[in-house]
Amino acid sequence: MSGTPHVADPPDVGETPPDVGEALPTWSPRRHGRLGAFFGQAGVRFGMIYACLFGASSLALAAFLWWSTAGLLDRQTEAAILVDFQGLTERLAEGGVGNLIETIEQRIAGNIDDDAVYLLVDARMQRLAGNLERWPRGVAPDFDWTNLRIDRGGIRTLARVHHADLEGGLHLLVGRDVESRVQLRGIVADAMLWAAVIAVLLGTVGAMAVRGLFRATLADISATAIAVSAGDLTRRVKVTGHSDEFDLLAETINDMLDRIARLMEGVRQVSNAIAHDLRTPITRARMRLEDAATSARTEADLHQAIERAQADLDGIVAVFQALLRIAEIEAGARRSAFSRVDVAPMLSDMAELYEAAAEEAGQTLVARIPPQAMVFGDRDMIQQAVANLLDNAMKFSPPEGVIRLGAHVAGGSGSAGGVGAGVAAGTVEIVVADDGPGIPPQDRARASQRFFRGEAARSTPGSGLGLALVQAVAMLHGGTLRLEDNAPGLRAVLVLPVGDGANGAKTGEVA
Amino acid sequence: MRPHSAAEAAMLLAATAALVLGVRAGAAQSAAPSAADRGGPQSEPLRIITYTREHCGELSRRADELMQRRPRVTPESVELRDEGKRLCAEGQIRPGIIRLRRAIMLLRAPAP
Amino acid sequence: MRILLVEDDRDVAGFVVKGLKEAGHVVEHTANGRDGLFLAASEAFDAIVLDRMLPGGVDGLRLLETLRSQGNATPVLFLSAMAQVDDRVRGLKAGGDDYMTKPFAFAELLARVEALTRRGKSEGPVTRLVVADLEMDLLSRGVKRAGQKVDLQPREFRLLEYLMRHAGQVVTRTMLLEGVWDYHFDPQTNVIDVHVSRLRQKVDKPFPTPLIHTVRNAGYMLREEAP
Repeated sequence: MSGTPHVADPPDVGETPPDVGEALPTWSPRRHGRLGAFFGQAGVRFGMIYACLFGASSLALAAFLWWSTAGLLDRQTEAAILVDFQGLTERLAEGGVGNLIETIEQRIAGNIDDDAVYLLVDARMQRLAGNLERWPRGVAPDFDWTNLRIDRGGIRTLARVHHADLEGGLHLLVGRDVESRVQLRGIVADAMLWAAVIAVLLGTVGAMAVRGLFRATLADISATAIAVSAGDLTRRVKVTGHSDEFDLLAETINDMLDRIARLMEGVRQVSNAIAHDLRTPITRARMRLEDAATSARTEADLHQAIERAQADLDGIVAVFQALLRIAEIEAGARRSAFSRVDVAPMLSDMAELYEAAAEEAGQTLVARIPPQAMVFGDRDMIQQAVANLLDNAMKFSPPEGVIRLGAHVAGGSGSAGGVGAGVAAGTVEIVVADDGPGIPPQDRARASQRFFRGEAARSTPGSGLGLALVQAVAMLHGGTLRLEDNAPGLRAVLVLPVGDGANGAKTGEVA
Repeated sequence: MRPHSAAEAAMLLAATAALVLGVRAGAAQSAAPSAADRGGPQSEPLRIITYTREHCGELSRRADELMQRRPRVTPESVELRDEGKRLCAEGQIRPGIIRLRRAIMLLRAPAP
Repeated sequence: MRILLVEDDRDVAGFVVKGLKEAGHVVEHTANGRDGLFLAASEAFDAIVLDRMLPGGVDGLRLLETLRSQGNATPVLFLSAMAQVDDRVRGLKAGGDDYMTKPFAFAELLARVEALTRRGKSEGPVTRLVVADLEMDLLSRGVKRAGQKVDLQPREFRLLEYLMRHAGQVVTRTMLLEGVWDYHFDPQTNVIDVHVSRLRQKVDKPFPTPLIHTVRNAGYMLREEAP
């Protein structure tokens, strides 16, 4: 209601007439100047929508009021005229023209309100009875309704008349003055005008309130987005606690920001780690080569230095590949290659592969693997994760140490006995336990971060990426990696959900 | 809201003004449907021909007749008839006629 | 053997060409995909070493797909800096026979290229493998050396089978992990060496001449005489 005249302004476009589909996206501030910019705001649009709705409902209300006041009077007048007319027609039928003429005279004689109009004419339009001077010009004598201007003793008024043909070529006209009704109509119209003004004011105020509300609600989100894009990843959208749609939006945005922040933190950690952990072996290799170039006496010295540098480089490449693999796993791209895998034969194979190596080192590998353990996931990845755990166990176990590789299925198709107390429903737990130095409790949370190396690991070769990869694999599968005390030693538990593909992957965490 | 408050206020005013004018015009039009409504042009209003001394006479005759027919007549109806006659005689035709009609209506009403 | 190398990096290409020539192969080299496709389609090679990313509008994957669609079955080894599992899968799906990621050890490349050419030649099912006085019956799964029965665990049997199938060639640890254990990554622990040394205990120790040799910086080789 309030804004219609402005919206209707034709936008000043050039020679090409814009069709609707094209005009919408080009509704830009630059093209339409200040006014365009104003209407381009979503808040303004919402306000306008509110104003239009409010206007439309006010209009409907006004129409109903009109219909039930002024309209009612109109209908009542017309009903009275019709009843009168009907009565006169009956008189004609009862007693002929004479009776009709007498009745009309009587009705006029009894018209105290002095508002009646009667006219009976014959076929030649000559007046037979009634108080109107003649049949109105230009009004056909057949059945119809007309408004007539009449002169009532010098006072001009308006009359609503009904006229129709009667039998015998007669024409009858019956009417009532409606001047008072017209006046009432004016009063109602005036009242409605003021109501309309109030409606416009209320509508506009409401629209502005809606717009203000809209803006206020979006202001925080937009401020947060601006702050974040300016680099402040700690900003979050305020949650009002009404748990409404805006709160839902705010929470969604905050979750997204949390995830981005976590990823950014990961990237930062990795680049820091690369800076520290790759610099050292690169420096070592470089120095070795430089030293050989300047001070090698014999060809054998030179060969030895080159070979060691080559080994250093291989180590760097290994770290590099491990990092990329973790990144690849964390990106989740491989989830599409998931399928139902029986990890039991794979674990038996690995036990066999590592048994020999453990025996060679004087250690014992004890495997307890169920006949079947179905998991929804990526076979190669799980294999690599278990290999990393076994590598670690062998590296940190003392000679004569015992390494245990176990697996049990929990939930779903029956539990695997008392071992799995506290095992979540529908999971496969792969346990690698050793009796080495273990990881002190305060380090366990950090142990699966990239490049973390515990006190015990300082003196051993390794990149500090093994557990990080296991952790990444666990997360990708929607499982967890638990590091526990084996008293003594470390008990690493890789928990993988049995899954059915539908709820295959959620975020996991280190317990 | 701040940068556009002036533009907004101006537009609000303009909208209100347009609306007021529109409604006024609409009301004026609907309040005077006049001749153009139906029935074509009507240059001069039609006269009601009952505002004459003849009609006065006609009405007094009817009133007298009714009075004679009734066994009892209320003083009010007599009063009205007499006043009507007097006004007609004085040339105040319309008030006279209305008095006479009221007298007739009283006389027509069934006896209490 | 005639080997085609399609590789756009001049240094890597020069290094590979030199190495392959030293190993006694004939090498054709081209630096872009279009020429590579032309050469591969018009001349006969025993193996193709193919880079994934190539200049000239035809990348390694397209080249191989075109070649395979023409019914050309020359064994192809991908040599690529694209190291993700999906890249590897795509390379093998397109018709590649092996996939190596850069950086690589030349010994590994040589071993794999030679293994490829051998694979290309094998025709029909083999039921018996013989190297010197070592015999393996693939049907009865029995192994004899100098007429004496050698008892092997199933895994040891597969390890020996792999070595015998590639007799006279260098077999790297990675190749053994892939071929015998179906591992596609390098474990930190040197698990392979232990298994090979156990196999040696049974196959070589009781006999005067060893058959399983260690090749420095590369892997192992099963062959008749010491070099």
